[in-house]
Amino acid sequence: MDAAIIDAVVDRGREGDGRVPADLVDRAIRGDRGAFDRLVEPHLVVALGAARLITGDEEDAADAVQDGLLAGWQSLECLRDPQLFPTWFRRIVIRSATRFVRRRGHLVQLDLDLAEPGPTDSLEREFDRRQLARAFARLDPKDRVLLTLHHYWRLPVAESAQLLGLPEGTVRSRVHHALRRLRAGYDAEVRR
Amino acid sequence: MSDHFEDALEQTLADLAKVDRATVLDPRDVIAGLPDRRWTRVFRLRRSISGLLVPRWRPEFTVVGAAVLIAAVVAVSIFGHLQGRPVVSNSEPATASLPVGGSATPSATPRATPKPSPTIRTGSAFDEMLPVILTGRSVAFGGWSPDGSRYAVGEAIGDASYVAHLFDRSGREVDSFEAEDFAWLSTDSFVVIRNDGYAYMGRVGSTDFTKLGRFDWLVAGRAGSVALTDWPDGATPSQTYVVVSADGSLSKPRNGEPEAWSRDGSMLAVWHPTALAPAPSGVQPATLGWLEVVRSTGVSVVSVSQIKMAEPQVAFSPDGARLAFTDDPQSADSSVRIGVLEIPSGRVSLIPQSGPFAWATSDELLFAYTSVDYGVTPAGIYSWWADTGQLAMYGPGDTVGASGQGAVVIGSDTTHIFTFTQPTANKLWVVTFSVGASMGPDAIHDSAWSPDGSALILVAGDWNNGPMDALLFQP
Repeated sequence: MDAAIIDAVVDRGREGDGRVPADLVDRAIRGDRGAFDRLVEPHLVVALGAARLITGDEEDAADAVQDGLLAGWQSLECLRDPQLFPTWFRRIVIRSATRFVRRRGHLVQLDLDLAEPGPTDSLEREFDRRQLARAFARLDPKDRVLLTLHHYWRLPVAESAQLLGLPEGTVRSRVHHALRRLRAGYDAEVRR
Repeated sequence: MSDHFEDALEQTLADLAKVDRATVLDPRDVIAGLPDRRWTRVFRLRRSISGLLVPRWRPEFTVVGAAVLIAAVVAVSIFGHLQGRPVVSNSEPATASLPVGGSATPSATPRATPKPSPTIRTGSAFDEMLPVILTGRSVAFGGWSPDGSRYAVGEAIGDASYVAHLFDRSGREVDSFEAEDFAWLSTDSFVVIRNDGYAYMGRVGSTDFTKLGRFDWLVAGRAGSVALTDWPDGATPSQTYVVVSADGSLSKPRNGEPEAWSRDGSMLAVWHPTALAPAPSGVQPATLGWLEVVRSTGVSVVSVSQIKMAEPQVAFSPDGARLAFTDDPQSADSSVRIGVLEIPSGRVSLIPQSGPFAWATSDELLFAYTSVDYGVTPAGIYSWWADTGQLAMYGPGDTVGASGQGAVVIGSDTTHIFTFTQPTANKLWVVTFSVGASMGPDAIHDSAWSPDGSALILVAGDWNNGPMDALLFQP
């Protein structure tokens, strides 16, 4: 793997560590950039990864996260419960990335940068993942958001529901259908 | 769904989500440079706060390909000379005797040299020959008022604070306020979207703003028409929008993505994306959908289905009788084409080539074609006549802009010669810009003709680092 590439999977483990210190939020609201940095930092890399999945483009992802940072900084006082900061920040990033996709009007083909096959990886599985990546890249942005929340961010349904403002049952149903569409797209890629 | 499939998906997404270390540094730089939080009502004009900055305002009448054109105008103020002459003494069609490609070598006349307008601003970013309306670090144009008596120019203050300045036709600033996105409702009222994601209605000279609701972006028309798109939540089945009435009241949400208003504001083109279009491997996917023309009341007028668009480009003819749009068949043997919908009949004409387009008049569509068939079809500015279907070379160049009322600009980023043609009551003015070769198109950001086509606002400069000038060109 290229040493310059950050594996966001590693950072995902850091995201959920511990509770959000309430004083950090208070300090950030009062204008302490360092406190805001400390709040955001554990979520930054994985947020970039999520934005990249949704926008399909690394530069757009960076811009989307930058927009999210700015929006978060400017509206911190809206965060009433400091413990909800991760969900709140994810929501901002998802919205920002979705805006980029809408403005662009189309999706950019994601480039699959597969890790070197491990001992248990077979060539067949690597091939499958490439087809899967193509199928994912061709999904509707809404499906990409749902699958990013569930299969990249690995959020519980309850948090996704809170983030999207939907009932949990609706989220489950939409994830199910997104997976079905992905599978259909994948099968089409294989047949291609 | 098999676990194996979902396992493979998770690993695939993890691979896809990898980002370069340099990408991670950018947001951290942003955090370090965040503005003071006392600017909690900051409005933004651009999408990024570092790196390449892209204006978010949509000029009410964007001259297609005008970025390069404006480069010409601005560059001329630095490197070259502005020359002009009346070429006919009577009113004639603008295209009747259009010299193009830098062939015109007129002598300068006092009439052709823009007259400086009064402005409260002093100084400029460059040694400009054109009157400077506003100089700032990052500047964007916000639109002409429906009657053309006022216009808005946005300015970035600091890293994330944006201000809209309203000027009258003489260049006198009449109001300013924070705004991220702006649209005129009338000569005296407007709609803005602020950084908090809410749209507000305001009046010139008043500090009172009425909150309209939470919206994502707006589509402004020339006649004070405004459509607001909903705030995306990532889960709404489809994009919806509302139309703002003159009194600030909102219509019920309607499905679709508003793209463009007709000139009189009576019709709106709405894009309904339905799915990603099937595309061969390696071809960038476009969106499959249908394009609908609706009245401002929401009543459907006509629609065209099975359209594929990667980057929606839609423009009503000045009389509102036609709608030009791009269609990307996404096949190896068929390039992007322009469709022209006859709104009364629903008939669609297809132009086999494509490029950034602009309506010169209600009957004549111009587009800048870059050859994709290895020279079989020469590149250049093409003219398509709606009544006859005649397609002909209009002139050399790769840039075209038009007011819809006969004012046309064509030019070439290669030869750096641009020609601006402007019919007035009794003269056809042709102004040639000779552009400094070092002035590239990247320096240009916004342009907009006045509703009557008699003036052009140009915004140019170094968008990344500033400064920038907003200039007024009035032959």
